Order: sequence, then structure tokens, then C-alpha cells
Amino acid sequence: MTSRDVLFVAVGLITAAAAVLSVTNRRVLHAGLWLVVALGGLAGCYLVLGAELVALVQLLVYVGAVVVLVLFALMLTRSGAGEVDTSSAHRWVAGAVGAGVTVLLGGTLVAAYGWSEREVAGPSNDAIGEQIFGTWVWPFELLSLLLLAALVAAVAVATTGHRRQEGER
Amino acid sequence: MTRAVDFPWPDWELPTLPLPGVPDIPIPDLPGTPAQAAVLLAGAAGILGLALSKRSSRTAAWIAIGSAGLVLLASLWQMYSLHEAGDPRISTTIGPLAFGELVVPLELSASRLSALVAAVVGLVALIVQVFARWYLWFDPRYRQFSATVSVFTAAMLLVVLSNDVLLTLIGWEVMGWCSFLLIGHLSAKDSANRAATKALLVTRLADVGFVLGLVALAAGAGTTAIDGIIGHWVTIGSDITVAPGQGAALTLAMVGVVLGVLGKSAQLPFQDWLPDAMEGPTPASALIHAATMVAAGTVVLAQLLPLLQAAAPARVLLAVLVSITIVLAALLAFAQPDIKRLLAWSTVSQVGLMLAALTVVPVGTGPDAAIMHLVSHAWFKALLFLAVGWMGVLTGGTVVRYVVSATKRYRTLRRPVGIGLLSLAGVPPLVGFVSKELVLAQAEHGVQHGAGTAGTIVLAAVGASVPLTAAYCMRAWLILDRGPRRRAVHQPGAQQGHEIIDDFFAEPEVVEEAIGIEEAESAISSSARSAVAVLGFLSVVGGLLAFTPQLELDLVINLQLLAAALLLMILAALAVWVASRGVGSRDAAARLPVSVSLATERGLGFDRLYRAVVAAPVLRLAHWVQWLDREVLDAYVRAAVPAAKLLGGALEQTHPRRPAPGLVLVLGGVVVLAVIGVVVS
Amino acid sequence: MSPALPLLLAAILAGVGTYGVLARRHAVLMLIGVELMLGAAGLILVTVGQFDIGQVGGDPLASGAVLTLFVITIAAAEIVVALAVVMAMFRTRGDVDLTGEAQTVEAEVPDETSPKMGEVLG
Repeated sequence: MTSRDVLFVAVGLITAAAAVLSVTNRRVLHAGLWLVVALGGLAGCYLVLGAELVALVQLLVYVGAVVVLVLFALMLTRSGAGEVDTSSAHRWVAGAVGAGVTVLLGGTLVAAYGWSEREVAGPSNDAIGEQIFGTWVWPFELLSLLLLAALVAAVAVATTGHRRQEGER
Repeated sequence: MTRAVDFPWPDWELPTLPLPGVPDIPIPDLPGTPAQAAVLLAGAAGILGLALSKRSSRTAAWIAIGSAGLVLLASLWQMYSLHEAGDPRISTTIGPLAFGELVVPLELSASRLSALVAAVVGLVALIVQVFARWYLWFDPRYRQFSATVSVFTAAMLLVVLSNDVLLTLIGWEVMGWCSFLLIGHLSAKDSANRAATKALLVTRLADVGFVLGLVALAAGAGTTAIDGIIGHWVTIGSDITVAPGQGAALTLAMVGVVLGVLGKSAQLPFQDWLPDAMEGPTPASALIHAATMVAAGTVVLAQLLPLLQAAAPARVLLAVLVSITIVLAALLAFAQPDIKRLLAWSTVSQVGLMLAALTVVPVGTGPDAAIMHLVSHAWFKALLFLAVGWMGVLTGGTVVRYVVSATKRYRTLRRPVGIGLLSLAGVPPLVGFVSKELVLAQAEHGVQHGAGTAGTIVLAAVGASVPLTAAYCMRAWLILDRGPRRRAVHQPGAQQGHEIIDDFFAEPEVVEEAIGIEEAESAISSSARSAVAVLGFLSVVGGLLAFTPQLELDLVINLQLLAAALLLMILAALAVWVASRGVGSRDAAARLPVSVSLATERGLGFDRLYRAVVAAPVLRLAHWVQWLDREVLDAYVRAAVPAAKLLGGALEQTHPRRPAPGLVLVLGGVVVLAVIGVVVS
Repeated sequence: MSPALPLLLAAILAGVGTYGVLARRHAVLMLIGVELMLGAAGLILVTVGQFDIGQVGGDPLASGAVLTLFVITIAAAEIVVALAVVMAMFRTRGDVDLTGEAQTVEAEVPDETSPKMGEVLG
């Protein structure tokens, strides 16, 4: 166990625990806040793995933007005392499926890559930048189009719902 | 005849003038090169001029004129330092870009010729800025004008100093847009808007060829650096050889470039935008015509000269079109009823001369004759435009009937206009004479050194342009310098039967009185007047430039040809003078039939041709595409709606209406399947 | 360090995310589960990129990091659209419960409502 291992286990435990809390907590806002911790922990994991750029983007986009959106949506759609979870039996089945996914994925991945120690040697930030604007430039540009489309779609969906409601009044 | 006389006509080699030694200023190690400074200053002036001058024309003028002065200083300094240091000086702009396999160094290069052209551009830009301050004194949009002129100058300097086709292209396009703004400066006038749009559309259409040509050149060479491109495509030895198997590609690319150049330089078949561009304010016309936009094509082709020499079909195409343009434009210039339009057509013809000189340069020699004509044309055409603009302010217009005997009424105009017209006509020893003789000598030299048919055509056209130019200059001078006496009234019998309807001055007393009143000096700012005087001085003595080491002219002047040219010139002028006798306004073109006058004024109906050949098919295509879009492509989209309705209705029937349990089952099933897959494999 | 640790964490996140999607009724809370799954995918990509597993000479195209950035971007786009749908649903239905009965809209707006109905279901 290197010091990196220890650090990763610590950050990873926090992430996993926060993730579990965010899907089990019954108070919707708390669940959203636990999601902040989980995604922040994930950024920590990236940092430990040596991918600083990805970690920063994760913090910026997820913790900075996505989670804020989620929290706003939670606050706007809180309808009082409605039940947020499904029935108990349903949850047991869901838990089983989730555990199945974990076991299957974990087993497959570990079996494929093994426990052996390896060097952490990812590409430098310079290399990532060059690759984004070299090899991956077309997908990258395509993504910008996708974001634009998502923006327009979001506005369209949100406003049509609104107009409809106005019309009913 | 020469054989019969057997006079020993000597050929005359150009001597080199013993110049007084330039003072030996030590060249300090400045942080940037003058090329960078010039482009950056001019460009920054455009932005700062708008940003810093809050509705104050004064601030805008200080910024524009000050920066133009600094640009001129930088380009003069550049000439000096090159003279001392020798080699072309390369400087970077924003550093190389990595475009995959394409190398884009984005460098500027200052060589002997480009430094000279840059200095001329800087000078003309400064003079135009100074003049525009007076000319547009009351114009509320002076700030925008001066800023656009600054940006325009920056773009031209970028083209001149560029060592990278990408930079050339940037400058080229920026110039196109700036010319749109300058021509359409008086945007309240419909005709100005129309002219600006026409200039933009026509040059843009030609630019398609230019861009494609440059892209093909750069893509083939794998670099956008101009010397890299030349090195890739051709091998320059005693003769230029194209890289094996690439002749066709090079020819196609160069044809594209030549088309772009023809568009920007207003040569056939794109010539019609330039006379219409006279709708712009006179300083803008002076800038566009004299040193910048129309000359840009010459600069670019001079930079790519080895490629042009190697691509024979492109060279012949250029030579033929340019030769036709030279003659046609000179003829049209003669018949124009507006002095400013006359100058516009003469620009078309003169730019044709520059390009013609490029097409006959034999392998191994430089484009110096063309550059010399560019420089000299910049001086005398700027002089003429500014003087005519000044005249237009005084007389209220530049149409013939306004400007008749203008130089008699306003004596101060006589000298600048006279010098300009003499120089344009190529009367010795003015600068126009020197440069035109050089072009002629270059053409003759080319014919003797294997320029082929193209050379002969060019020589013929250049030769024909000499008397034609003299003719329209003489005509303009006779109109402008008509004496106060009116002969036509006293000789009623001379022209009876002919209908000459240009006799606008039926009341001689009015004219006489007007002359008396306006004898008084016109109110022109002293700075604008000195700017014009500088141009006049350069137009007189500028010919000395040809004898300095700044131009390396490897030419032999054929005195026989020179004498013939001068003789033709004099004959043409005499003929015009004879024709003008007895016409009230002394306008020789009034002898032409009315239908011819009208046709030439409208540019021989090229407008209609453009509309029929380009505009109408494009519009038809657009309608067709619109129909296709609406009736065929949209039909699928519209059909998708009922299809989705049907499908949705069908699915609605089978839906359990409780999504959550279904989702659990689906995902559980996926996990089971995946487990099976993993275990089995 | 051993690549097994981050891979195991990714597996746990994926499992927890699946549970979150399945066990919640509240639409936004389901989305939280989806986000966790996407995070798991990103973690796997980064791990594989950082440990030069599977190919000799590391990750010359930086695909691990770059694809993770792409995943994050797509997730941002996805959540924007999803939340817009959730808001529209909240406006029309008054709640965001995804386990309830689908509402029939025909009763409210009798004719030509099929496109709008699709919106409600979506």
C-alpha cells in the first residue's frame, strides 16, 4: 500500500458513503447536498489519480453548475409531503439489482485488470490540450452543437409547458 | 522605315544615380520589427479611434493622423534598416499555428520591394487622412470613416508585408469589407449603398477563385509560408521548372488566384464595380484607387511571381484579359461625362498596365517595373483624386458641366490638376512617364525573351494605351482649363447640322461673373493643401526612384520605341485638341454620338451582363432549393407528425401506465443477461 | 497504486446509481442516480487512461481524460433537458412522481392534442 493507495481509499470511502446517502436520504434537499459531497469526492479521486484537469472540470461543471441546477429543481418542485421513495418491497428488488450491478461490474473489471501495482502515468495537461484540439477536435465541436441544441430544447420544453398552463387558466 | 533611314538608334541602359550617401544611423535593437509596428499601429488606430473618441471628431482625427504618421515613420525606418542590413527580414506575428499537417508560421517578411510599397501605402494613407479631416469636416460620421481608413491601411500593409498566404487572405478579406464601408459611407444615398453592395458582391465572387487557389497552393505545399509554397511547387534554376506531375494542379490553382486578382483589381470581366465605387467620398476613392485595394492584386502576384511564370495558361489568361481591359477602360474613360468616373476608368486601365508588366517578366528578373508603376500610379492618382475632390467641393460636383473651366476659376487648382494629368498621360519627365516607359520596356524585353503570344498582346495593348491615355488626359485638361471666352457663340456657322448638346453656358455673363467672384481663394485647410502639394512634388520628381538601388531594373530602354510612344502621345493630344475646337465646353467627347456616350456611362451594359450571367441563375437556383426544401425535404418532416401520432396511439394502448416496476424488471433482466454473458465468455 | 481500487469504487457508484434510479419516485432524485452512474463511467475512463492499461506506451491520444471531459459535457446537456422536462411536468401535473398513473389528457383538451400529450408523457 503506497500513500496514494491510502489517500484513494480515504477519498473513495467518503465518495461511496455520500453516494449511498444521496440515494437513500428521504429529505430531498439533503439528498441533493449529499450528491454535492459525492461528486466532490469523485473530483478528489480524479486528483489522486493524477488527472488534475478532469478533476477541475468535474468540480466546475458538476459541483458548480449541475448540482446547483438540481438543487433549484428540487426546491421548485417540492410539493410538500409527497412520498419520495417507492414501496419497501420495490426497494428491496432495486437494492438487489444495484448490488448485482456492483458485483458484476466490479468482478469483471478487477478480473480484467488485476490487483497488481502499476505506475500512475497519465498524459500531461499539455498533451490533453493538444489532443482535444487535434485528434478530438471534430467530436469536440460536435459537442458544442449538442450543448446548443440542449439549450434550445430546454427553453422550448420549458416554455411550451408554460404557455399551455396559461392557456388553461 | 528604320532600315531605310538607318539611323543608329542607340539602346539606353538605365544608369544608377550616384546617391548622396545616406547618413549612417546606427540601427538600435528594437523589441519589434518595423513591419509588426506598422501593421499593429494602423490596426490599433482603427479600434482606438472608435473606442477613445467619444463623439469627438477632433480626438478621432488626432488618433488617425498621428498613427498614420507613425506608420509612415515605421515603414520609412524599415526601408532604411533593410538598406543597411540587406536581407529580407522575417518577423513573427502571433506565433505559428498547428493545423494538423499544415504548417502555418504566420510570419511577416520585409524585403526591398515590399518595404517600398509599404512606405508608399503609409504615405498615401497619411495624406488621405489629413485630407479627409478637411473634406469630411462637417460629416457626423467622420470618426467611423477615419477608423475604417486606418483598418484598411492595416489590411493593405498586412498583404504587402505578409509572408504567409493566410495573412494575405486575412488582409485581402478585411480590405474587401472595409471598401464596402468606405464606398457606402454616405449610407443615406441609395446609389452609395448599391455601389457598396456591388463592389462587395463582385469582389467576393472573384474571391472564391482566390481562396480556392491559395488553399490549393497551401495544401499542396503543406505550408502556408509563401517562400515554402514557391519552393514546393517550382524549382528555380536558369529556367523555372514545375515539380513533376503537378503542372495541372499548379495551373488550376494559379488560375484561381488570377481570377481573384482580376476581381480585386477591377479587370475584365469584373471591372464594373470600380466606377460605381465613385459614390464613396473622394478620400476613400483616392485610397482605394491609389495605393491599396486595386493595387493589392499586383502585390500578391508579385509575391507569387515564380508560380505565375511557371503556370503558362494562367499567365496567358491574365495577359489577354488585362490587355483587353487596358484598351477598353482607356476608351471608356475618354467618353465619361464625369471627371471622377473618368479617373476611375483610368485606374482600371493603369492597374491593367501593372498586371500586364507582371505577365511578361522573364524568368530570373523581378517584378520591379510593375512595382514602379504601382508606386508612381499611387502618387499621381492620389494627387488627381484629391485635387478633383477639392474641385468638387468648390464647383458643387464633378460632372463635366459643373467643372468646365474650373482651373481658370480656381487658380490654385491649376497646378495639382495639371501635374496629375501630365503625369497620368506620361509626359516626360514626370513620374508617370518613367514608370510607363519602364512597363513598355518590360513588355518589349519580355517579347524578346520568350514571353510568346502573350507578350505580343501585352506589348500591343501597352502601346495602344499610350495615345489613349494621352487622349483622355488632354480631354480632361481642355474641359477643366477652358478659357473664359466662348467661341461657339461667335461661330454659329461652324457646327450647324451637328447636334452638340453640351452647351450649358448659354449666358456668358453669368459665367464671367461667377469667375470674378470665385477667383477668391477657396477655404481649404493648409494641412490638406500641403498634403496635396507633397503628392504633386512626388509626382514630378518621383521618377528618380527608378535610378536608385531601391529598384533593380534590368532593362534596356529602346529609344526607338520611346520616341514612337511620345510621338503617338502628341498626335493623340493634338487630335483631341482639334476635336474639341468649336464645342462650347471644349469637351472632345461631345463629338461622340449620344448613344455611345450613354452606353459608356453605363459601362457598356456590363451590369446587365452580370445580372443575366450571375444574378439570375443564382436566384433561380435559390428558388429551386427553396422549393426542394419546402416541398420535398419538409414533406418528410411533416409526414413524421402523423406517423408519430399513429405510433404513439398504438403504444398508448399497450402501455401499463406504471413505469417504475417495469424499469426494475428491465434493469434486472439486463443484469442477468450481462452475468450470463460474462460467465459464458 | 493498484487500478483495482478506483475500478471497485466505480462499480460501487454504478450499483448505487442503479439503486437510486430504481428506488426513487421523485424525478429529480432519479436524476441523481443517473448522475452517479455517469460519474462511475467517468471514473473508469480516467482510471484506464491514467494506468496505461491495455495498450503499450500509455495513452497517446489522451482518450481517457478527453472522453471523460466529453462525458461531463454530455451530462451537463442531459441534465438541462431533463430538468426542463421535469419542470414542464411539474407545471402540468403538480407533482413529479414517476410511479403514478399516466394522466389521460383527452378529457381536458378534446381535439388535436396528441402532440401536447406526448409532451406530458415525455
